[in-house]
Amino acid sequence: MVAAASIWYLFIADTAADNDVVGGVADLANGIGELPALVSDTSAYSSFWDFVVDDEGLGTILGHTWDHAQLVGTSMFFAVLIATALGILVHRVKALAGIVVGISSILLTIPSLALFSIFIPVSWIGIGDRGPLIALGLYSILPILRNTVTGLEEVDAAVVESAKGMGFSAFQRLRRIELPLAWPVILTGIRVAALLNVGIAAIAVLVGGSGLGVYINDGLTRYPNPGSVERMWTGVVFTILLALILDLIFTLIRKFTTPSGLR
Amino acid sequence: MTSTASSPIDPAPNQHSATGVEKPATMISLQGVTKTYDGSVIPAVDSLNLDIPEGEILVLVGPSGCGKSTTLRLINRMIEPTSGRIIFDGEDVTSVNPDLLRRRIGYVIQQIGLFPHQTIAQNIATVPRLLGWDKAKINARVTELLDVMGLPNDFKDRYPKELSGGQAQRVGVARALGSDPAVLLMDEPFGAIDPITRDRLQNEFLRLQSELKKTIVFVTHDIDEAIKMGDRIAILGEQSRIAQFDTPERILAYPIDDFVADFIGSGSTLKGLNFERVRDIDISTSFPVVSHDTSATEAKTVLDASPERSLLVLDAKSHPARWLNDKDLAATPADLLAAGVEVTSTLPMHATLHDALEELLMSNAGQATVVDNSGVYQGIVDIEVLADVLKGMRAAARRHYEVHVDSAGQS
Repeated sequence: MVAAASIWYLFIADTAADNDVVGGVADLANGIGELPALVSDTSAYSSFWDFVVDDEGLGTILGHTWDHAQLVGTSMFFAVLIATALGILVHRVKALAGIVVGISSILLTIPSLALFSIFIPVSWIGIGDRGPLIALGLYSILPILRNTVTGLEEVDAAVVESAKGMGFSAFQRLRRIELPLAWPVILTGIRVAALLNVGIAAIAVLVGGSGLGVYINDGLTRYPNPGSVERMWTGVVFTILLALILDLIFTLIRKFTTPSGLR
Repeated sequence: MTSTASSPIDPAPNQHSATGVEKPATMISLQGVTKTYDGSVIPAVDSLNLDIPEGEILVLVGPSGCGKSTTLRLINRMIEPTSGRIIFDGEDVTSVNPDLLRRRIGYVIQQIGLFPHQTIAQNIATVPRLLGWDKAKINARVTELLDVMGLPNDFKDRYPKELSGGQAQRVGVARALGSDPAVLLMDEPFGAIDPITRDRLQNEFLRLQSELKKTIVFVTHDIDEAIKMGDRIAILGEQSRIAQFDTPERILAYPIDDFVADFIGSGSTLKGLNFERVRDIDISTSFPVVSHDTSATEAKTVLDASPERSLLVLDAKSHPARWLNDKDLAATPADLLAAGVEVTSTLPMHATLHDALEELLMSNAGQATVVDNSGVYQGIVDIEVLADVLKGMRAAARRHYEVHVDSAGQS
């Protein structure tokens, strides 16, 4: 997932450059290009470490990391509820599949910066974390929805048939048979969406939101002044760390929530 | 019940009676049931009337696509009938809540469909849990059912993926019996199992049924399975039209039309031999038999007086010992027990006529020697005896249809 997170940073850089909303965003790519220099130049490396430990302080950075995690967590919470409900609906009413999956696919193609900015004019959203929360939630719907539908469809028809034949009501069938059996697949969808969002959430700062994007943005604005590269790297490294921790958490959730008969 | 290897079809003792016309009470009754699928003009099942007798296995058998599975699924309303009524134990269940109806009817399908995320115990407890039994009662029931199905108690905590096909099917049947329903619906339950295991499961199931006396509707496309499992068989044609509804022995002895005759195929006479047992027929006692202490000359006189080509020598305990023919006796042996050919196998009284046929074809003399439980000679079954029995069975079945022409089956 580290690779995936990095790819998302490139994606964000591209999108931002295409939209040309924030001057100098394209330079982010150059910043990443300086990676070999950072690694080989011990002074640069130690200045990154100094920045984290002394200048900015680990506590402050972890605070921003926590904000970042909250952005992802809160948006995911609602996305999971909406997307699984939609997934169940689509599974029951097959005619809706095309429309629902189509709309959520389109959502995923909207450039992230655009989707973050689009809500600013709405009076009760404006500047801040609300817009990013909605945008992140919308981005999560497709992976979760698609995996919910796939997961439910992959449940052995004979199992559903025998459950029905023994007198399970439609709801009991869903709750006790279909959802538990589809759960590993649904969880994979949630995990993909969550890790995707860890990357995208870095853009929240551009619409006045919180999170680790603050460091990347600061670094970009100050470039090439001293400390700017360190700031950008702080944003990148802690985002990746957050993604790794999330991945670990999902591995644990998977381990403890997959019924033993399916392992 | 243990299957004798020689017999492909081995019904439970006394399960079938060739002549009985006893009509048990009706457990389930389909009245003018029709199912027409959306977008189709031709009904899949067309105004079907079917009375399912209580405590018996009724096999629905027919070619693929005849609607036998649809018919089965109409009973527990997995498929809703387009018109007609379903009477279950005297109650019209055509429009009751189908989920509640299904909890009263056991259901076994070919693919079994065990819940992979639940333990064997949880699987078996499915319907009791739906019915809200308390834990202790459920636990006791699960233990009992594992025992009944011949599964070890430590299977309780295992998962379906750890079971072989045969074990999984046993668990499937145990699950269907969970709340001890009066009725079981089985849709090709042994269809996906290898022939050896299938034979064993069929025999186990028949033994179980002889104790449980459930009302069972059993769907298969295999006429041999139908003959083996069914107390009664309904042979279905297109749109679930009942071509013949009767006991297996009568269907075999008297296929009512060409469709049925074609479906049961050649060899139906031989299959019919499985329904008669040696003890129930008149075995020939006129066969030439001498005791071991008879002189060779006397024995020759006995043989000459009979139309047979050989005679049977009994030993001191009256057990069949040797076959002797003309040539053997011409040598005037001092000890009859040292001459001729040894009797290598005998037929017990409870053997089927199918066993008898095999025995007489294999024996040197062309006869099967019948003995009682202690091995004492009782008589002989030869090809003429079998032919007479078959003729009798056919005649009886024909008489039945001539007498009961209006009430025979559903036709």
